[in-house]
Amino acid sequence: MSDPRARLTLGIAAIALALYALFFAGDYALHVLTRAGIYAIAAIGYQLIFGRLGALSLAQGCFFGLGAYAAGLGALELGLGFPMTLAAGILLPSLLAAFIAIPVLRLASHYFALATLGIAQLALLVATNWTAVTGGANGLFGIPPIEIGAISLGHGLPLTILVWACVGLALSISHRMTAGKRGLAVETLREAPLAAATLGIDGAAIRFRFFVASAALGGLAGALQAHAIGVVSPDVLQFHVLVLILAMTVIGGRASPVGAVLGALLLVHLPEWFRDFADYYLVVYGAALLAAIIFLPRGLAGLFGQSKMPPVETADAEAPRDPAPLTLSVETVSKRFGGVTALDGVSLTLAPGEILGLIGPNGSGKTTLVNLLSGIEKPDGGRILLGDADITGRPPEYIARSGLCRSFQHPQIAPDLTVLESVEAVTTEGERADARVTEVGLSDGANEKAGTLPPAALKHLEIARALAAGASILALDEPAAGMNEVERTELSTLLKRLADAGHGILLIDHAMDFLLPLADRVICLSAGQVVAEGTPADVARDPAAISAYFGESPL
Amino acid sequence: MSASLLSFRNVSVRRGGAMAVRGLTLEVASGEIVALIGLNGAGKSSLLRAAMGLETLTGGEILFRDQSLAGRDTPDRARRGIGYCPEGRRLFPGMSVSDTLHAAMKTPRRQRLARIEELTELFPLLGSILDRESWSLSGGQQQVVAIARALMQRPEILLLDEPSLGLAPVICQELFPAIRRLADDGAAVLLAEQSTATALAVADRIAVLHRGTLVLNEPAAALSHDRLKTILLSEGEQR
Amino acid sequence: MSTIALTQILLNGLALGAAYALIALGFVIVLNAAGAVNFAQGELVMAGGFAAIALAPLIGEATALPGLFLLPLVMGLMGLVGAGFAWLAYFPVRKRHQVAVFVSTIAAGLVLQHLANALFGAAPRAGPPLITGDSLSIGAFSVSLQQIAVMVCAALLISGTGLFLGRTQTGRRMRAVAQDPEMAAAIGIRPKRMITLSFALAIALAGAAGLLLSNQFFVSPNDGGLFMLKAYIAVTIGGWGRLDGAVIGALLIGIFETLVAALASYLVAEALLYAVLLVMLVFRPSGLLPERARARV
Repeated sequence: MSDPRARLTLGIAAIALALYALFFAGDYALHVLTRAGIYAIAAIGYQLIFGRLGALSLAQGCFFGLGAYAAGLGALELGLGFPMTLAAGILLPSLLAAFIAIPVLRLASHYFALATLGIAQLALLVATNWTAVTGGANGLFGIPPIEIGAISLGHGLPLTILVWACVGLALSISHRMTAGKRGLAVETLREAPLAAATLGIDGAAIRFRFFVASAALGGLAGALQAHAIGVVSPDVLQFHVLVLILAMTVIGGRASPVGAVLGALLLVHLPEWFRDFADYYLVVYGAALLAAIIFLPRGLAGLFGQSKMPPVETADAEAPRDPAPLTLSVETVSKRFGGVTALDGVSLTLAPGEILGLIGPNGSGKTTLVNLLSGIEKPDGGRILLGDADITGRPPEYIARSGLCRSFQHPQIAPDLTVLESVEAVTTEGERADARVTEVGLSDGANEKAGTLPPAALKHLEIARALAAGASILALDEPAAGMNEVERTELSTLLKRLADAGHGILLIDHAMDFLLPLADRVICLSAGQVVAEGTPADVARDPAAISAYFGESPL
Repeated sequence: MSASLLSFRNVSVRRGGAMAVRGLTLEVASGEIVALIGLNGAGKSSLLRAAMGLETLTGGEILFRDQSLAGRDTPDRARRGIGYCPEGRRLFPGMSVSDTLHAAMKTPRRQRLARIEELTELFPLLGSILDRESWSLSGGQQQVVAIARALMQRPEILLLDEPSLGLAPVICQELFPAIRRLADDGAAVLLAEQSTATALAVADRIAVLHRGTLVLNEPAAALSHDRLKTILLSEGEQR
Repeated sequence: MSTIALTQILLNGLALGAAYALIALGFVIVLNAAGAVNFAQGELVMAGGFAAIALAPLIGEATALPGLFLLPLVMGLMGLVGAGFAWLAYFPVRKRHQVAVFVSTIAAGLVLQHLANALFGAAPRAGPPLITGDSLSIGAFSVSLQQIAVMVCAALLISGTGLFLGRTQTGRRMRAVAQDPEMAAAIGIRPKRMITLSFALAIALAGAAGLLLSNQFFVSPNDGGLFMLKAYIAVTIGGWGRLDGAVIGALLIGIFETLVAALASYLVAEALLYAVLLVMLVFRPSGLLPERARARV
């Protein structure tokens, strides 16, 4: 929301809504507006887990229903007053989310969806059948309207204002979680999870926070609903609640909390407008949802353009700091996939300021080695040391924070972030994104979207990200692939400069004419073993290396 | 040499955002084996994929039997007589060899069986593995099946991407004479290869790719192994 | 429990499981062909049930086998629906994120559900029986003809699908596309055509299941979610992407449900099913049978 125009639009919309509520809306219209506000809160929560993280949780309806039951039971059975019932409504689903988060959040997309659906179905069964507590299929009646002291906020305009104040609260929570650098990290996590991990972003922690927050907001909405209509029945836990919230999020725009509010306003009012279609209005509503997915990939929010970070001046960026000197030692590391040995007792060291070339034919284990170094795969044997610290088998984000980052053969980026934002997303303390962008020579295109960059610039962006994430050691997987002569020269110059500043660089490449002049030492892998090692000139003449590359005559 | 069957005219290909092939011109004639040599990333696979319609051209055109292939999709090219055997074989892992071969030809069953019979003569190994599922085959067996799959529709040209990759030399010794026989029977073969020795032994002509451009295109007989290696190793420095 | 009662329960379970198997089979066919989780599979089952009810007057009361005559009609109609479904809800979002396909199928399911609601009302309706007639009694042991017919039909359809995919030229080409659409195109197969055909087959099977279930268990517009869930669970138990696994998983679920329902209650059966599912997802997310080995590309 840092874009002034977006802020202005939002302000005007909010004032228009307030004027409508205050002066033009009758009792029924206020009731509809209240309902829209309640669903907006649930949708803002859902937008965190589904929109921001891209995880299709099918439990948001369940969190909504649990919030309603918790508030209802709190008021009726425990005799809690208003703010406490709201707290109960938030707490119960949040606890459930926290409890199931650890096993469930690791699951891949379709299993995650199924697991959350299973939990929602269980909750529905419990609510329907635990008659003694929940009132069974009939539900709970006579939940008192909201009162604060002697002031009743239970109906009409006061309730509408209370609910929309909560919408504002939800928006600000969502904003806090996704604004600025945090939001950039989340975007990177969703679009390029592997890169995020290897740049030090702790994905598990972010997923946990977002999942619990989505549950809390869902619960808050449910609790408000319980008070607003005075009844809670198992209906609040049915699948269609989830579908409604999902539809609001999709139609509003997956990545925009304001879009979620728009979606809620639209979908709650739509049935009122479609009354003429009688029985068919829900059919039209389903068709509208389908059309929205097909024709509005960014939802309603996409129609208004995207809010952008203001362009950042990079010209006077201060010189970046030098890295802490670290030595990488790999000791007899092995890795097997099924019956295939990808790496077999590989040892190497990389000193600060050194460029170590890694060559070898396809399938010789080069990328596997980088995967082991960066923690994406765990070795089956051997040790990897970073300075004195043993990083063998540590998770990628830990290794990144310890000072080793990598690039990928196929750049892993979040296409909608600008160059500067992509780097900002991963900066550690003491690092400046603009300085790193300038350092790799991308300052002219700093506000271009990463998805529109030419391939050579993407490789530079990956290097800038690694530097900003605090890397002392860079493991670069074929950074020069697909570059022309000029681009390769630029890359060579950059890598030499980084080495001079004290970075250790492990450089994979196939092109001898690029690698040999640049590297201090070269290692040749073949079938997972080191077959040659030495100065570039030595390795280029080494019969073992040549035969690994060009093959013996098989005929 | 007879008229050109497949011609690349000033072809450029962008793959995964990178320029993989830049303004390349190359002709392949019937009955001829042309080996594309170059290091990884030189653009060999991209060129073959472009001929198959799996990559779109950013410049130039590809002609097959003197007709432009522009606007023809991949299945269409396959039916017109271009066979493709990709890098890494890419068999259908859950399908049996026999099913794989049958799926690759859209004619009555009797003709399919006859064709499989013919291919079994070319690759005797095939006969013993027809009922095996593809994922259970060894690398060499998979390569034979992948080539046979590409040959089912009697293509006039076979695009063969790194067939010897990861195979024991003894298997290549069986594979390449069969490919030679194909060419002797009149088919053209465009072979991407990393091993210079293999290429020299089997091909009629050698085309060396370096970073997407053609740097050499000569009859194999005129080249020695050592000279080819020197060209590959020193390419960048010469330019 | 007596042997007779147990046999009776197992038979009931098998009949239910066989119908679930058709749903799960369709779910996996679409999953393999398009890489898409079809969330509307349950609504399509429901639609098949209502299609049978709507078409029943065409057959009339004259025959003693109304359902059997209806089956090909319903399957044909649902096959067409399936092809349309592919072009409306799948192809437009095919190139986008997996979640977009999830959501578009949910939306398509919503349209079907509300359409059924508007056309037929919310109350459960009984579909036409496959065979009119009473139970078959062998001593103390009695089997309803309807149940036998359901099992036989489902078994024929499942084996027919297996034979079609395994032994026919079209089946082979569909499988090739499912495994690697790009390579399939490179041997002259048109992937889009085969994917459309896969949707048609899958949804015809869902429709058949709808007809088979509609007499004994009734059909109502809001049933879709439950069917989808059962198919989803069956496929997860059986190993994501395996046709044989889906059938085995569905049969297990059918028997499990019937057995636990007989011992305790239907409620306990359902709750236990979800609990087992969650435990399994945590400890063995790849299913009881292993996922098929896929080529590392």
